[in-house]
Amino acid sequence: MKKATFWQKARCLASSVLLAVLTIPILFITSVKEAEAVPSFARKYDMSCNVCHTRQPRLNPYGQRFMENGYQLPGTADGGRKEKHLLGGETNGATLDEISNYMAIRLRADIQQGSLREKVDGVSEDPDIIFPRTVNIFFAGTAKKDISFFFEAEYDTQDPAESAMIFERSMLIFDNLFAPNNGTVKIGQFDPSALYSFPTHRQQLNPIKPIAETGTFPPEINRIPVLPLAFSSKMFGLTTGGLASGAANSQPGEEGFAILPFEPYLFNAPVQKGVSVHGRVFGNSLLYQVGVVQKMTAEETPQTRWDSYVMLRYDVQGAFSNFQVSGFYYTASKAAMPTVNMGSGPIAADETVDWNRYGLAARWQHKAWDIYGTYIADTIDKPVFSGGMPLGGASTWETDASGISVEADYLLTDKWMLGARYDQMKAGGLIRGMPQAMNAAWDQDLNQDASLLALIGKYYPAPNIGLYARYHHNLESSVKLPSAMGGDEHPATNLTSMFIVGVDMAF
Amino acid sequence: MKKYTRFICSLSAAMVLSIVTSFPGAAQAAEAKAKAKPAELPIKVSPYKKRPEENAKSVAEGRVIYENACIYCHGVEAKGDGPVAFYLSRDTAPRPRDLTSGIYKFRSTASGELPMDEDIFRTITRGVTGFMPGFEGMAPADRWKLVYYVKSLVPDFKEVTDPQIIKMVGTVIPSSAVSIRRGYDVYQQFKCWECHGGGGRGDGKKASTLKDDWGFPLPPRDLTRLSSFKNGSAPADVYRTVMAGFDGGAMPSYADFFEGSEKDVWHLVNYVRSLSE
Amino acid sequence: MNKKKLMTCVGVVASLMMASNANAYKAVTVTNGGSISGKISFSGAAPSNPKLDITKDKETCGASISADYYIVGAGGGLKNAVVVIENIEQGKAYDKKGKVPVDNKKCMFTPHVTTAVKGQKLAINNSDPVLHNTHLYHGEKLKTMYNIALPLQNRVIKKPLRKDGVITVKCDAHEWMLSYVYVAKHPYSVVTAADGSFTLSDVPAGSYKVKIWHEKLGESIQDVTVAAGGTATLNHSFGK
Repeated sequence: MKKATFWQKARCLASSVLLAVLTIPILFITSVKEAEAVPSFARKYDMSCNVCHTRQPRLNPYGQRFMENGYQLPGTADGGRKEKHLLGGETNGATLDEISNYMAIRLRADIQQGSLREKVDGVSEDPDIIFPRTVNIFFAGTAKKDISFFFEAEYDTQDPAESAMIFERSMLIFDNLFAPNNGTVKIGQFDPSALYSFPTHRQQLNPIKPIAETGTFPPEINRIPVLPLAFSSKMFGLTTGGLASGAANSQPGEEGFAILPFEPYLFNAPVQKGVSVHGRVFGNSLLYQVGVVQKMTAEETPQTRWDSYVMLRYDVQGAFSNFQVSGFYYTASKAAMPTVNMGSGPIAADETVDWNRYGLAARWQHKAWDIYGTYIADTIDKPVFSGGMPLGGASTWETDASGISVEADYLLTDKWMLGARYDQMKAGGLIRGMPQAMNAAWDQDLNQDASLLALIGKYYPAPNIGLYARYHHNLESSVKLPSAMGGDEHPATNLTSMFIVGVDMAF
Repeated sequence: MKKYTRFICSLSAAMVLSIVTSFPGAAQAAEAKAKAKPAELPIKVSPYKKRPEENAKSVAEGRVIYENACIYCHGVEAKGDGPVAFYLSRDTAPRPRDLTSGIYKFRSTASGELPMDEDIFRTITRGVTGFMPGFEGMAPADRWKLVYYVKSLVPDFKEVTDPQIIKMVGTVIPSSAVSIRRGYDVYQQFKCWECHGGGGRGDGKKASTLKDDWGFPLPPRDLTRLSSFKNGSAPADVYRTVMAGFDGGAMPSYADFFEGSEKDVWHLVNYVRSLSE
Repeated sequence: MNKKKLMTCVGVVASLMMASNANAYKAVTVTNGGSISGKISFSGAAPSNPKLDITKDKETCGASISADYYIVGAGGGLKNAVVVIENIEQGKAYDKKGKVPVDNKKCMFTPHVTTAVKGQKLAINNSDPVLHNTHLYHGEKLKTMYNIALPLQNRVIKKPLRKDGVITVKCDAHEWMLSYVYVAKHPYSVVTAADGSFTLSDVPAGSYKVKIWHEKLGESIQDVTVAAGGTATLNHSFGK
């Protein structure tokens, strides 16, 4: 990993100072009411955070409908309330919100202590104290009735090497184009699974990024990310292609040339560029979503590719309960390049593979319980390596993979939330580079399963401030990489456990 | 003989008339006609002069709007048991109102009475600070349909013939040092401090055990935070709160004690509003 | 011809008079009425009254008060039960403008149980120097009927009783305070005395269902027949 240069460090410092300077006046503008500071939507409508959130950032059913309706109150096209300032006359005026009514900031800071199995060279991870770790600035709201916007800039202090500020999600939303509650069009970069019963972007346990080098193949994974494994790509041995030309393809939001089996992908990637249309049909209970995502193919000369997906969700309301079940199907053609590296360099398959993903999720909210889970399965075409053995033709591949993530949150009191999550991944992709008979060094399956258990306690002195302690435990026992790949700790089992305390607050 | 007959008939007619007008319905209907349009309502709630007619059709349309906008808090059957309720307030008040209970917090009518249509319309429009969003972005006709739907959930509305409206006696008295001083005296004499505290911070000696009708803790308002007044903080709003009280909560009605001296209420209003300066 | 007219007038008037009083209780002159009397008691050891937790205003309320839910005298007589005729449609007259007192005294309501007729008025008073609010709930579902602040001492507030049923009386400021007003459509209701005895007088002869109600012990309905000029005896015992 490259060390940050002086200029990068300086830029980092300057950005931090600038951010702090910007933050302080905003904190004064948005005065605290009843010890409940209120981010922009709550400010605009004069409501507590918990009208829309179970506990931030997760949404309760009302918040889900608010988001679905383009940040307008469900059942209305209120343009984000009438009380905008009218500048320049009744007939030709511009209506503007106060800035505090559409701008909000989220700060996350962690102290992480990961515990890794002793690596070959005896390195284990030190406690990681980073404050603040991630700062997000949101601009979200309605420009006019049924026209909404959302922009999110994220600054990650863990990666000063990257551009200091990147635009995460950014989208324009045109609401209710077909009929009330039907035909909302989203254009931009957004989480395709935002309406799914287990959306990627809203987790009580914030995803912790991997420590990995993905510019080469095989990638060097020093520590896997901690996030719902069902979202992961689950496939070993895939890359984004473009090998021979030396132009490694990787898109914003992807980890790099090598597609990590553990990175959230396709429908469940946190940011995808595309268009989606959603709405309610046949009454109030059935929600549909269809969309396309623009990516590049994994061919030698990458072309634009359009993935497409469809999602359906069914909601049922009861006394103090909401139950919803959803399913999706996502299809990507020429999405990845199977690749094998036997020590002399990566070798690409003859052709890219199509990649299809489908999933089923359910969420049950009852009184103080919020229980949700998803099963997601992936399939790829069988990779073809012509040119005979041992150049990849002898490799064996698993074309199917699946994952499950289930989480239960319980609101013990108004201020205390407890949660537990279980993740399991049955990995696919490259099993072996070649049979052991031909090369004794290929003595292990590469695509090992992963499973993790997490426990969390979160304390909310105010609804928009969460102090948490979380513990992740790796349930898989130690497995090594094949000797051909170094024989070191397998990434799926390398991390034995992780303990994190942190704060997550939004203003 | 003729004279005698006529006398008996007219006497009988008089008796019949007095009996007929002593029917409970008839008498109150006559009174209601006189009282139904009060001289002044406590607040101008709606510039929308043309309401939709209240009939089965508008109630059914109100139900459809309710299902889109209201069920997540108030519940499918309007019992205040929507899925959001526990996350809004897990162990404390307020919870979303049980709209079938017939108990209404924000009214222009006397203690224990049902609200005016305008009161329900106002609550839907303004929301309840901190807890219920305000639906002024919803078309007024739709809001009136919601009012009619909410009324249809409580059969007692059909039997109201004599709404006991709190009369807005006098007009708003502009704030002044003299008025605030008088208001302070009223605050002391009428023992508001026992719940709201000497400084109005909601920390009076009776504050800690106050509950709402459903058993959830509901402490008295911190009067130093005007923006948090759920019934509104305009002078007319505070007047209404003091006089009508909050049904479903602990705040009682003071209308009986201020009868004849309503000016003092305006002075009290000025004092209360001065606490947040 | 004149007589016919007269008869028609009277006939019309009479029928109208009958129609107007179809549902309400009718006060008539009761001649040769009987009475129902007896004793309501509790058999076995009386349940103990809990000590009320006096959380505020101790200078006025005292340090501790015993609840008055069960008052059982020597001989098992049960005080503060209500005996009321269920289904009587005409009977003795009563004071339509009668006032039923409810007093806040030393942080308890006095009397603990009282009866009233629908249409009469409650006369609510605060005898204490502290703020009470008298919060009345109607019926089983405890629907708020009135919530009146009583900041000033000895100023009576009158409120009409427009519904019949059991009215529960509480005070938000002092959460232990509790009393009951039993409102019937007619005047034939009475609260038992300290020895459990009661009398309902001037009852027109007939067969009636009589309810005996107690705030904690439940209720019981008995059949009673009253002979003209006679006294029907009704005894009932709560408890195992």
